[in-house]
Amino acid sequence: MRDRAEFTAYVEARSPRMLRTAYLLCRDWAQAEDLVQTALVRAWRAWRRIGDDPDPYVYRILVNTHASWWRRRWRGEVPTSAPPEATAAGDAMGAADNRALLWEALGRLPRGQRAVLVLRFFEDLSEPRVAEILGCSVGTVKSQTSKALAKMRVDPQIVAVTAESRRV
Amino acid sequence: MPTIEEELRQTLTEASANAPTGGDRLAEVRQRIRRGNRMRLAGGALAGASALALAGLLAPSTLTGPDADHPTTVNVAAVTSASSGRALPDTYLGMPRVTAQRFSTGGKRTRIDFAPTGPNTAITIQCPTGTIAVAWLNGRLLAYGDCHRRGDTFGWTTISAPDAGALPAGKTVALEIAVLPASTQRTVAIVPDGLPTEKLRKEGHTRKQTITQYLATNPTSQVTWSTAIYSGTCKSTDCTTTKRTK
Repeated sequence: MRDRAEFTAYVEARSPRMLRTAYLLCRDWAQAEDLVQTALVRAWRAWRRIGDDPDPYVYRILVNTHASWWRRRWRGEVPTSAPPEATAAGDAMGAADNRALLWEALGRLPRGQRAVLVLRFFEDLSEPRVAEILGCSVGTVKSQTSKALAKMRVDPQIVAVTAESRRV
Repeated sequence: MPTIEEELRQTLTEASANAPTGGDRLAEVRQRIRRGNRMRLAGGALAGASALALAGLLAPSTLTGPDADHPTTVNVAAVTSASSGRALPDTYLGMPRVTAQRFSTGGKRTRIDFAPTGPNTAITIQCPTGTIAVAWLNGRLLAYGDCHRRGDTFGWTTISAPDAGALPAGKTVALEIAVLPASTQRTVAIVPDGLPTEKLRKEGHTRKQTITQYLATNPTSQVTWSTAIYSGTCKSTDCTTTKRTK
């Protein structure tokens, strides 16, 4: 019964944040909810073994499950070839647009790199903690973070908009 | 000027800020746990009445809820999964089974024709550990992923829904499935046919072969796998689709 109470408390306390992380991984709220629930069901099955700090275990399930579900659902989205409009420098709306571009660029990253960025910059986890969740070395987390950020810096759409704003 | 790290933090915070509210996640999780327990019980039933009795004895130690005593809706008599020998249910998320087939060859596109009977369709594939399934619908790449069954869930499931390319009821669909070694993902670009090489490179595909080229140049292999297709009106939030906000 103690297990059940702890699990219930954990779900209530942590699942809203977990849902946001899941969304950042899969970019679909329905799938994110599915992902969180699947991770929690799997976590419950191992609850007695997890110990006092369930987060690394549950987040690991979340990331691994997302990796195995890639393209699991029907794809209703049609990509567009039209480039986004350039924004003026210093424009508040422009900043929002730039974040939209950043969001799009994030979606173009490989799943592993996206997971590293989400855990580092949304969950604000340290490199050792991210390594623990992803089951890799701290060095791998560092290199994946660096590669992902470098890719975003040279993302063609971001580069195009930055160049355009410099001209304005 | 903010750094890309700062912009990224803000982007991630903003993008995930509008999480849908409503729905009782804890109740949903409990329901899934119970459903998993029932599936396990149903699987155990195949091994004989004694196994079922044992599973029944173990059930109280799992998470239970108000409707835990409801009778199972899983029919264990019919078809069994290829990878686990477990029974495939007659219904899945409230949708009746349209077809279930078992195959013994991998490394080639195997065609299965079926006609959806309602607004939702779920395609499930079961295959051994260490393999993946790639699926095409009417000749177009649909999806790929792990397909070995994990305890209470089907190996690989994809669900169509009205706002995400649903299949029209009554219209025959050509589903093709190829089961391949999981290592294929590392060496082969699983992409739709006909994409220009330049576009593939831009999208980060540095692999030498596409899935079509791979299938054309590699021999078939012996692997047992199965598929079950369910169609009708899905009665679960698992089929809820996202309304795009922009």
